Amino acid sequence: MSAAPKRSSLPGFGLSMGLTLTWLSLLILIPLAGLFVKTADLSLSQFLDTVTSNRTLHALRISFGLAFAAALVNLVAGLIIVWALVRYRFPGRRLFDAIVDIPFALPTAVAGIALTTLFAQNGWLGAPLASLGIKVAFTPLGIFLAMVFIGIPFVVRTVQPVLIDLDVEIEEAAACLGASRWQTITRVIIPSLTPAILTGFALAFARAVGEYGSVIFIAGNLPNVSEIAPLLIVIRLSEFRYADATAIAVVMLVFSFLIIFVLNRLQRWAQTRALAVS
Amino acid sequence: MTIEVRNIVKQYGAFKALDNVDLRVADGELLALLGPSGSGKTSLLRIIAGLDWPDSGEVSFDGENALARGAGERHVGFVFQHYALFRHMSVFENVAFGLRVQPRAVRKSEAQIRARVKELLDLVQLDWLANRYPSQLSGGQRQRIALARALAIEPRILLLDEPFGALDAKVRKELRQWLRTLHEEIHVTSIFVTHDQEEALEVANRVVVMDKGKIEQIGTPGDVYDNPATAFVHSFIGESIVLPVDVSDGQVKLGHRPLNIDAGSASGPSKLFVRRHDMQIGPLGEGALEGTVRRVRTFGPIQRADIALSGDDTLVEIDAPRDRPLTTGDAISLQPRRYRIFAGQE
Ligand SMILES: Nc1ncnc2c1ncn2[C@@H]1O[C@H](COP(=O)(O)OP(=O)(O)O)[C@@H](O)[C@H]1O
Ligand SMILES: [Mg+2]
Repeated sequence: MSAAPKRSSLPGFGLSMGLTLTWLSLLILIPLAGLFVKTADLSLSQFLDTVTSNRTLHALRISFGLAFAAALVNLVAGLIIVWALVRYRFPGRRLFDAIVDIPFALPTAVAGIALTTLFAQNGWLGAPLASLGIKVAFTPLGIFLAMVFIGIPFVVRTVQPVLIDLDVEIEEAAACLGASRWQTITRVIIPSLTPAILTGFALAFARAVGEYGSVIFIAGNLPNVSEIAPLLIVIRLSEFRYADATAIAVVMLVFSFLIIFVLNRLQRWAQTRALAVS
Repeated sequence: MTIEVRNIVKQYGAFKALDNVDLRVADGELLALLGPSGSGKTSLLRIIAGLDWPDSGEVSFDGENALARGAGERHVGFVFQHYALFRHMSVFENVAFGLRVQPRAVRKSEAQIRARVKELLDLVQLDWLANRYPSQLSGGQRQRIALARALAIEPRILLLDEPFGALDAKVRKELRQWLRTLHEEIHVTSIFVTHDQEEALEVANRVVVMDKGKIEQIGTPGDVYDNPATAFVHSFIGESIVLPVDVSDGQVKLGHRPLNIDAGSASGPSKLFVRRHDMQIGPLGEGALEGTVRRVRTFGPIQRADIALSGDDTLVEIDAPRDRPLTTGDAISLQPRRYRIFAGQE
């Protein structure tokens, strides 16, 4: 693609491109560059020591691993919720639809405290689970639950409009061709939703990786057990070890970027298959 | 495969979309379902396909109750107006879909599926598009692929719901011819829905004319054109001159002027229907209708003239041969050669 076509039927290319670049630079690129500059205070071996210490590695594994698992669960649960909300008419449907947005709107600390109270060993759900020998609060399981909680609206809200727009005629065509309901869902509907599903997954995942407020209450924050990477960064900052903090941040940034990039490519690929331009 | 539809009623709330519809389709026939938008054509087709169920009535295929089966078990090919192709699948996979979803016990081998899809793509003359995606095809190509996909399961019946409705006039005309030829080749019992009378008359062996959820007439294209059974059919098919007349004691009057035509069985306020080319022009004083020529256009073998009828100046359009040239201002008489009178004036 050449940057500026000589003659474009769309006016204002120069102006809008200029504004976009300025805005992106001011809000995103310059602060991120600062992160790298600050990290450069460390020598290479210091940097490697920081990011490969057991505590850091564990925190990164907790953050990325659980975020990925939570996004996967949200993917499946989100699809089922979307299906129910779009395809069935039942009393209270609008209410359920509104409830999906609560994790968006709730201050994260409130969500964290609510979840902790619920799953503490004497909480409504925590107590019966504890009697089964399952401990939720102050364990990785608690972190995972908080991540599921805050991620669900992302999948629902990205897939829902696409399913609403999906033509019922393609399902009828599949039925006439002898496809069972299950075959229609797996071979026709889900593939048509794939770009939206991937986007929802990426958003839920990104949100869970960066989540702080709702997680730290239920996590218990035991180093090497239930400590998330963003919390470790805050701890390093409070110890005035700024370069260490930014080193962990840089690793998170690069990782997140790679994952989001791959998801983005996948999504593009799924979309071009559907809307292939010759 | 014969199709028999008996006393079908389909209601949406208080509204009757189909009102006691009866229809028999013979084996191998290509039947057109013709009617204005909203007359219930799609509703009827969907019931036959098993995509909808009637409130009462019966549908049977070769004498066997079809309503007991779902859409997937009826072996009906359905072609939608807006193609309904699977966007995420290549043309090849779209056509193969019906073969791939068959139960394992009867499913063809991969090699057989490939051969069959190739054969179908050849049939619709689009084998060179096998690897494209639907969004890369023109409307006409998409509809031919949709047809190939429907034929893949070797349907016993083919139902086409305004298949060419979304295409431009030229492509529509080509596909019409092509569908006709294709039907002669494969001979599957087919129902073809359209609101375009020319399309119906040109493609089908028999035409079913519908209006407001009811069947108005069933007949060959010649029949419905030459002998319309109702006022609706007369005005819907072909262009007609329609005049409000009054019939009493076998005497037909237009306003106060008695007309020299046979009233048939009509009486009271009625409508006189005459095709544009069935008005015979004579010199003044000879016939029943009188008027003045307002405007004449000449093209091909005919001249088309606007005639203002004397009395209330009603404007009628007639087609006349060119052997007796008309000029603006001529006072002439018009005698209907062929006509129909239907009782009622609404
Ligand atoms: N699902 C539906 N709900 C309510 N009314 C409907 C529905 N489907 C069709 N109708 C009505 O039934 C009538 C017949 O529709 P349809 O069979 O689609 O007509 P056609 O195909 O001849 O244009 C129309 O007046 C339409 O508004
Ligand atoms: Mg219709």
